[in-house]
Amino acid sequence: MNQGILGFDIGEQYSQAALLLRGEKEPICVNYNENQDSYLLPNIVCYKEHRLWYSLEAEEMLAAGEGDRIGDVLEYVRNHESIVIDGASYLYQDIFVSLMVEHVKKALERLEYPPEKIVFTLYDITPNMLETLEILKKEEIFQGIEVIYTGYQNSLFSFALNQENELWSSNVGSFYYGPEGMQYFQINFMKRNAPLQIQIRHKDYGENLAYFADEKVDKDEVFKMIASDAIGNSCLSSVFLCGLGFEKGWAKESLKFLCNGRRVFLGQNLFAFGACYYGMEEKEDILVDSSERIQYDIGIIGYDGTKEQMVLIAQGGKEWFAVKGVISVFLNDTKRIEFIYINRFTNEKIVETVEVGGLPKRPPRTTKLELTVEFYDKNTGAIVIRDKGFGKLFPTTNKIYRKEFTVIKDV
Amino acid sequence: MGNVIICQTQEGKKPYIFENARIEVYSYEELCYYIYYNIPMLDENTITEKLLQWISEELNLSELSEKIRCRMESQNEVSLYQTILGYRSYFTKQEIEVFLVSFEEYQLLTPFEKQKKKADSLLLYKRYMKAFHIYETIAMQMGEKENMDQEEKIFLGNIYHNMAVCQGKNLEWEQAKQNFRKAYALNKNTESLKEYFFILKLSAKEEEMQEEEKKFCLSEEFFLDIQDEIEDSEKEIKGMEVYKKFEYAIYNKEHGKYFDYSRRIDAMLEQWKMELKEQWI
Repeated sequence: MNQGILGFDIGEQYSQAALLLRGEKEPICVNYNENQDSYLLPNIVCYKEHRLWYSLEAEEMLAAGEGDRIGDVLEYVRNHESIVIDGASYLYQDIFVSLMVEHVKKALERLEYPPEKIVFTLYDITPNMLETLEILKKEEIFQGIEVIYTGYQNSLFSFALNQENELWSSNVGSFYYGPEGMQYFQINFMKRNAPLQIQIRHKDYGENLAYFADEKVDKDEVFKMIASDAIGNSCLSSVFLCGLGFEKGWAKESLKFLCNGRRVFLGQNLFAFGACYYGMEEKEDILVDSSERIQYDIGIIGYDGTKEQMVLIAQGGKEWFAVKGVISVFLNDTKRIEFIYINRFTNEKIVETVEVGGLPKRPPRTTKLELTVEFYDKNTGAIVIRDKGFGKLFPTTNKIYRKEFTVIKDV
Repeated sequence: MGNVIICQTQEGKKPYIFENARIEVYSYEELCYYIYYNIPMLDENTITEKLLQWISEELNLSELSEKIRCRMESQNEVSLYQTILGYRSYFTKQEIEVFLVSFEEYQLLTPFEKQKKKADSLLLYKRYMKAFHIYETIAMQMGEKENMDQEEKIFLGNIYHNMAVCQGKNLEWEQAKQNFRKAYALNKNTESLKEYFFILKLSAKEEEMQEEEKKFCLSEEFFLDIQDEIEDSEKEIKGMEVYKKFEYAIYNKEHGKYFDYSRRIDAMLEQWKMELKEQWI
């Protein structure tokens, strides 16, 4: 039974799914009727007859002039908002979860077997969105299926790495034109030998070319200027254009500019395909430097039974929500712990000494502390220190200390 | 060894209980600590099949439990402890050497000395009645001996001292007073004498105290020390949980909340009853 990986791109207005079967080189889009173009699932919710309707049914209803539309679900989820309909309060978080369950149901109905894994990919995974995805994961429909999520940047580089070698013989660029406006991502290959080192640079041109740009704006001209600025002197072997903003074929002169010495591709399924590849990949040693990822490994100087050395609490190089870890230590006649932050690219080390005060006097090696690293978002996090005491011999005080930190990002 | 030691083992959900002292341990490190610092409590019943099962199932250290099981056949008790202590690096090699020396030295003690050490450990773990019973047995057996040398007198004096401590912890003031007196008569240790006068002071026997002061011809400095220690103890007591509970109870009573007052007092009494029961387990 070849179950495969289902990549699910949650766009602002539409979601789409693609399936990559094991052994196959390329994913295929999941379509919802015999029309090969119907791979988009609208992120539409409407209210009619005392209940909420989702996805394609909601779109049909609204097209027929029925029901009340509930819009901008993703945006309101990010802001943790709720809506009152007919006197009842609905959290956008719950609406989003139900919408995604409906989308996934439709996608699963089109498959021969349920996938072994679903990878959701989104433009930006904020703390509120992370909380919502964790709730979504627990829905019954996902029983027996591994669910993971990742940002667009990861999907993009997974996609690029799975194209023909000549397409990434130099660096790779990508323009995404969605509700956030024009965005540019560039994948720079810093080192091609193991471990592979990749840098993903993101430039936001949303203010220069918004999604709902004024009709008077010459999009083609503006995009050409953006492309020129974004690419600069970089050597790109390929450029991928993605996002519904590129529909209607307005990009003409700008495309000519881009095609000069580069291969250019236009398609809507880059992130869905990329999510499939992301889910399929064996996790080799690839160092990725991007704004979504935490560049630092975090640990302490400790004695591991043989010698004193750095002991890792949390490994960096992953998206902020995936960087976490916990270890326990015994204090041996000291109140001080040395925390060490190592930049995975530069090997630069930052050492910070924390003094744990306010604990009762106990004999050496009878104060056990639990050290946890957690991130609140892609820039801030904390080391949480919990006093565990020493069983009933020297009971815990239940004291908790928090040492917050801000991640320094290279521009 | 460094100042911060990485914990490399998991904690059990259920503890292992050493029955002789009713001590619960939840982890490998606590097990090592108990063995290392409680030589008098270790005997041929310390390493049992039940302990090995706990090590294997709760701590997930089946390799260690197997190693111990293999060594059990040799019936060399100290090698079993050495196996446990040396399995991970909670204690260094040098510290384990010290333990082995202490263990050997303990085996060379006289039966009375061994019993006293065991009772001292029970006293430390607040098993006052069990400790008292052992001290009392030693005192009775030693008391039968004639012509004790100075060392034996000091030893016996220390036994009476600790008996008095056990009794004092259980508010048996009169008996504690008698035993502190006996202790000082034998060991001539000012600590025993101080404790004797503490009891007199705490039991408000002012007249008796004045008579005793004259008998011992003690300096003013001695009584000032006692007074200071009593004052320090009073401050310490006010920070204790049990004192705060008592204050709350009195507050309830003063404000006519008799139900709450009774409830608080009953809870405290139940706690003390349980602690008293545990002394005998």
